[in-house]
Amino acid sequence: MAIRPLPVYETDQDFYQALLRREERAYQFLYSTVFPSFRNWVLTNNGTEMDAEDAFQKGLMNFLLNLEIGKYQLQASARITTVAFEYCKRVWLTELNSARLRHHAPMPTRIDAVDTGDVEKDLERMTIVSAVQKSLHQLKDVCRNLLEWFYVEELSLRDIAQRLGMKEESVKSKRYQCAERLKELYLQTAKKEGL
Amino acid sequence: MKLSENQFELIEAYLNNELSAMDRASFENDIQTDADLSAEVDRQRELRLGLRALGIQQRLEQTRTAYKASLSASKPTAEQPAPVRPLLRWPYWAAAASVVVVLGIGYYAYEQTASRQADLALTETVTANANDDLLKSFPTDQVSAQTRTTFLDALTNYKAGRYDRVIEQLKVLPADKKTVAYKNYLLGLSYLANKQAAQAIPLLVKARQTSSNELHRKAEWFLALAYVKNNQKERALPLLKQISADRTHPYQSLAQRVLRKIQ
Repeated sequence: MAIRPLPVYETDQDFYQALLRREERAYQFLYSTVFPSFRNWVLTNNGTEMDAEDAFQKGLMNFLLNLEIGKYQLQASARITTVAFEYCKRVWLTELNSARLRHHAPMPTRIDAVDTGDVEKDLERMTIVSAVQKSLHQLKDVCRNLLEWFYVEELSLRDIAQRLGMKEESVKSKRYQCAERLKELYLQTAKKEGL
Repeated sequence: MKLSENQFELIEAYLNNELSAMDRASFENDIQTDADLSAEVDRQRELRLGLRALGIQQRLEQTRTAYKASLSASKPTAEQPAPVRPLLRWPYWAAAASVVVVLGIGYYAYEQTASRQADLALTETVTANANDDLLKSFPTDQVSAQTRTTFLDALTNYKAGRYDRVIEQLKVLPADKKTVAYKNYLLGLSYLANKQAAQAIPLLVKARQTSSNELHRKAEWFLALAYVKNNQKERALPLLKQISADRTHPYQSLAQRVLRKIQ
């Protein structure tokens, strides 16, 4: 049964800002608006449910990361949901293309003229992201927590100091030490994985 | 390249666009003439990209879980929830966040059985109740540094959906009078979120005996859900009725919803 998305944002600008803030409702709206149609599209283009979900997660990840780092800018000519759909579509087309090269099958569809950047570069970027996150998990709990609180949850040094019962200056120094340790681990991981 | 703390702060300020125009220009000039510095800025950019992606990833996983729960809830004849595909082809770091349950499922709730309604109500409230609310009232300044660190680490694990780990941590955490109610509450909540309602019940019963009214009410609500999940309708009913009748109870409307399904 299709789930009707909530009518949440009056304009794409509001929606864009909400996604930048990682608002839960914005993510829910994006997911429930785009996924059903993307799923149907994959199913009619040589894919399975699992393929649809996999490509959808990767496509949204690429899109949202580009949105946050400013690589994707809101355009009047294309709705956000349309652009997100195209990001996911290109992920699946890229995967189909590599399968086509292996099996000599025809490509199913054209690519619409929506600016979705360079999907292959975006997908390659995820290997870096994965290496950083593997390294993060190798850190001791105290460092991992501190870095996650600061960089992922975006808590202030003051809030973290309160949580840990430490002085703000000490947390600042600790963050530096933890970030340096993370870098060491990342460089080792990157070398091991040939990045 | 080993950075000094000052160099680290400078690169961070540069990457966050926090330098003045003059400082930025000067720093960019340094980058152009210093290959080591340039490489270091690239490394720092990659690290921040990975951490940023983790935040997006966690939010996406929460959204995916909520969406799947909504699909499951919208199928009145379904015996089982929609299967969640394994994350084999998704980077392994996503798995840590895959079991996180989120707020807002109620948007999609239609007709469910009592147990499914309890699942939805649990999903709506469970993550919110082990995070900031709990931190605000936790006596951080009155406990040992080790207890505080363990508790905060457990909260972080809870938030990331690592319920097994929270259970491991809290089971061995020595509790004193100041913290025992928090320990029982979070441990009980973790068992409940981990689909181990029977283990959650005695802990939530104990947590409910706290003198903190806020914690008492939370423990009461989750205890009612644990009874529903454990097929103990006769114990769930009086609790749900009591919560449903209390206008000041934070879970009044949710309790009414679950109650309607039971009666």
